[in-house]
Amino acid sequence: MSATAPLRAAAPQRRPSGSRAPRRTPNRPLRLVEPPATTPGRLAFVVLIGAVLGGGLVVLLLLHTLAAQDAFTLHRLQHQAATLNDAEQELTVANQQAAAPSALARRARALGMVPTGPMTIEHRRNGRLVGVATAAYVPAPPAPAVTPTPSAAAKPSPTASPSTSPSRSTSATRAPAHRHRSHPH
Amino acid sequence: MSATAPPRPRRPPAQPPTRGPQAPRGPAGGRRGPDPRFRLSVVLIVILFVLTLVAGKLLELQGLNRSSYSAMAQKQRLHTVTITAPRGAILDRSGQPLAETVDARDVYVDPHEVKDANLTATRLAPLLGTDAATLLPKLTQPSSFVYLARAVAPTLAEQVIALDLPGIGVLPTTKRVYPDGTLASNLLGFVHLDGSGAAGLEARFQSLLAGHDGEQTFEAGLSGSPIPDGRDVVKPARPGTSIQLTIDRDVQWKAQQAIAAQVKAVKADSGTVIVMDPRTGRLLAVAVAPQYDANKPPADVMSWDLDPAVGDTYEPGSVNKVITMSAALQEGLVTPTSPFKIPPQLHFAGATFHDAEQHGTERLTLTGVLAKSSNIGTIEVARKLGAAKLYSYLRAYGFGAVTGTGLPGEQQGLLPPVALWSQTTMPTVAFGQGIGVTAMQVASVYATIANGGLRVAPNVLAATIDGNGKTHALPKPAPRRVISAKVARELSDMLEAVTSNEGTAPAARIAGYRIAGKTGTAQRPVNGGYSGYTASFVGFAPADKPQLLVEVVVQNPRRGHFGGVVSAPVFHDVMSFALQSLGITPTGTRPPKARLTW
Repeated sequence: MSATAPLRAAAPQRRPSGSRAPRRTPNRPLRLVEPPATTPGRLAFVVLIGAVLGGGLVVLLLLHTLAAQDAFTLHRLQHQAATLNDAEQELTVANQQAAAPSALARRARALGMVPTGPMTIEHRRNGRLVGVATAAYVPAPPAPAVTPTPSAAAKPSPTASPSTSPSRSTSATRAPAHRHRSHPH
Repeated sequence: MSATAPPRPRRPPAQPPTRGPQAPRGPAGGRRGPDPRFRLSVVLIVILFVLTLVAGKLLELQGLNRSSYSAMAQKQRLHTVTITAPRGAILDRSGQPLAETVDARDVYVDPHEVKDANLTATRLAPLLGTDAATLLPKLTQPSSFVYLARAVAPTLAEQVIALDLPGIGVLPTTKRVYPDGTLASNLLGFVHLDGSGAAGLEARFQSLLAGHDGEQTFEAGLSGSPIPDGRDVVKPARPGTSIQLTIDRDVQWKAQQAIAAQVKAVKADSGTVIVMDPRTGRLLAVAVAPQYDANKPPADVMSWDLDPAVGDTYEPGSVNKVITMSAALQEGLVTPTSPFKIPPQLHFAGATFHDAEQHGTERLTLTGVLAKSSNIGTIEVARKLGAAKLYSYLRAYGFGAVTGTGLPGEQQGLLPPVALWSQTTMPTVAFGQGIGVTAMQVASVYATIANGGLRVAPNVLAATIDGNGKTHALPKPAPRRVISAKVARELSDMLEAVTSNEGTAPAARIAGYRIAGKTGTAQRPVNGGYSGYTASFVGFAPADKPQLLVEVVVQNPRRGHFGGVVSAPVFHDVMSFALQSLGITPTGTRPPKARLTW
């Protein structure tokens, strides 16, 4: 700055010696020129561009916010789905365990049920009877009735097992004693 | 600063030529004075220098070490999670699961992070089904990772997380579940803690059941949640193949119940029950006693003979007589009514042979020899046959070779080549001593007779079900003719006489059905000598249209030892149940009148 100051001061001193400046002033009178018609249009354009850009940014921000929000929702729902899946799996397994043959047999025996004995079967085509039927279970008079449902869920009730298999100590695993009756033929 | 320091000493000499006329200025004027082009070039050099540094660094980051830096950046954002391939299930013949895999969680503790061990223990104990006293030592161990519970239910793990105890965490894992603990565990085997097969079919088909783990790679933020629109590459897991067995879980259960009860009742060492469809060789049940719970196998289970039905070799005894008979019938040497005079004892090749029960001289037909299980009569038949023929029929029925079940640990039994037979080998082998067989081999012999002389290898695998749920049936074993249909028919009729009142096993009879079968009472080889008995019964029903075969083997019973007493009642129980359960109706025909004597 300070270095250029002396140079500028010197410039006007040189100009009078030039020929162009004096020629311009006398010939053409100064008049106002209409301002360029494009000025307001360019401003509008700039404003428009600004608005578009600004709007775009805002929309982009919104989209990103939404996407992030969706990601969180997705994460949460996936977690929920996994939890429900686990619960379903657990219930399925519990159901299968309850439907397993040994569990069914235990419950059936607790309810006072016994395995079927021999059956007579009727052939549909000719009405012929085959097989030999015997009573699966003859209730022993002294044995009290099986205690109803509350105790049934747990294990063979002590009152039920002696009546179904009196001859065996391993009552939980034996078929009823009627199977060992003498054979008819 | 330091960069501009060196040019300074040069400045004073540079000033005089340009500023010479204005020398009388003060020291301040000296600062203002330097040539702008010089200053510009200095600034330019400085800027260039700094830009060079920046460019150099840029080159280093983007050019020279580009790959390692981008890898580091990716590593920061990218998370890779293993997608565990679910292990295939093992199903019974109707598709009910015998073994399946479910999600589970391991609960662990980092003892360094635990704030209040006592409080943590008391709050965790009820959830983990243990007491605080057992948990406490784990919480105070000088370690940074201790398992508190393995493979607990996910919902339980959620409750553990909800307690928000410092130092306690859960990890995802899987758990093998056997819905009916002991059911068919001799076949299924069990798995290691990591879920891989340890024994039985679980181990045999490990590669098939296991499948292949996949993985997911995704970009995630600091919180670990995925960045939307980020990279997300999923390599899906290939689920394991499920295996469908020929086992019927109800029949299997009944067989296990019956044999376990009888083993206990007669104070035996062990027992085996095989249920089979003789027409297809399909095994409906292979039950053994004692049995273990596959959900929690006992510590010494690795030393068990997991499946004695194929892994235990014993001397078959009288059940073997049917092979001698069938060979003689097939060769046309005898007929079911051929007369035999049975002396009280027989001297042959320097040895004396007796029957199981003392008797005077008897006049039995071939049917009578079989029905009364006469050793002496059988030796007479074998003498007509000769050792070589007997040996070739034993081989044809599958003795001395694995049956083809594909079950792990299957033994081929012990059948010395005929060249090595001594003089007494032939008569003893004829009634089933001096050779070693498995229960499966004997079942296969009777299945061959039941199936009209066609041997179908016993099989336990029905189909595989791939990860997409598509079922692939396995090829059926090809049948092989051993004896003619006529001889098989004659043998079946003879075997029916065994369950008559005059036979050895009336206890095997089932009201309404025609039952053919044979008892076996053999001495057990123990350490080179004999001790105790093997009591067995094998039979099929309905005798005139066989659809089911049941074999019962009881090892070393201490209350009674005859096959007709110890094993036939188990046969009766299992066969009655299986006939009803599978809906097999009686044929309604009458058994032929068998002539046992002459």
